[in-house]
Amino acid sequence: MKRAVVLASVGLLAAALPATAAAYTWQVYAHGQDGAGGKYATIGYGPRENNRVYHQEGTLWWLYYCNTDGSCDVNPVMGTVNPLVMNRGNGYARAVCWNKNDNSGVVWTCQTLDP
Amino acid sequence: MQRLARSRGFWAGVSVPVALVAAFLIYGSVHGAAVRAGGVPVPTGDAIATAAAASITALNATPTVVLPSSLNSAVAGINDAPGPDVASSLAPGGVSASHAHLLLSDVGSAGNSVYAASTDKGRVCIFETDGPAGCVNRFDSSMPIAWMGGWQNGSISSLAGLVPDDVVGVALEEGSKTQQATLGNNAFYVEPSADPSAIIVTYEDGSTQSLALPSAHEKLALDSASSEAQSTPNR
Repeated sequence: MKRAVVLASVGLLAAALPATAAAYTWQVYAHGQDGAGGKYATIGYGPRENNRVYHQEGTLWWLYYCNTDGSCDVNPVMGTVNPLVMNRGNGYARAVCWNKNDNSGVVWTCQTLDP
Repeated sequence: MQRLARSRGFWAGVSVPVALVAAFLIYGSVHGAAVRAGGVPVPTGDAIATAAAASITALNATPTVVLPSSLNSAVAGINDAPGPDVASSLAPGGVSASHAHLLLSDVGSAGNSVYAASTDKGRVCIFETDGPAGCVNRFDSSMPIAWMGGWQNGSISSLAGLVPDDVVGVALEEGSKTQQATLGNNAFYVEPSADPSAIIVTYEDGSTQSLALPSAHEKLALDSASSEAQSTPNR
């Protein structure tokens, strides 16, 4: 697996993006280049309204959530479309994006919509 | 600065019509095998924004509808600003929920619908009832069709997508069996009856293309995502 070149993550570093709904903002939780096979998640747990990833179209990505008991979503979404929007939230979880085969060199960004 | 702006404006004014003509010529003359074989160089950037849209006749052949409110969060996921970390080439532009197209209706066990809508950057986004959403900029060898899928209880529950005009069939390879997807208006939808290993795309010239789906091993790997995620280099 090609080593991911992670440029930033918003849990700690990135700035909040413009708000969409009342009190929700898209937060970048992973941002990088290549790294096929890598899974990236928010640092901690919290309410999640949505999950999305911007990436090179044609490459396969998955989006899902992991719960506080360590179990992960059994209802993930996947796709080659860009962005891939999960269109589903989770009351209290870590948001995860999974790079299945994107070694395109295009910088990808995973974001979660949080209160 | 003014000169630069003017210059850009000039070239934008020239390049867009040129790109449109080129896209039309490509579509009209070699649309099909040459495109999916990767023999036709596909321009990059927003200038080729019409490429996918030009290959989806249904966008002009179906009436405009309003997306159901149940897809509001999906629309927001497309329309909300991507932020400064996302390259403009990856930003799809915005869609209008009141200018969508119903491509498939009453498909699958839940009677789902598949919609498409063009963005203000000329890309095409797909929406599935109670499913994910996403967009496509172009169809080429790396993106012969645009697809997305949902899982339920560890198995693929549905796959939906957009296909260019020269696709006449979409099916799932399920062991020794093949399951045909519902295909119409440049969209497809299918609910696997067993673990599928590939999407089989059939073109009007009779050729086929196989797109691998996640294997059983990869599905199991999902179970360990939490611990792996905790050790990601950016955490």
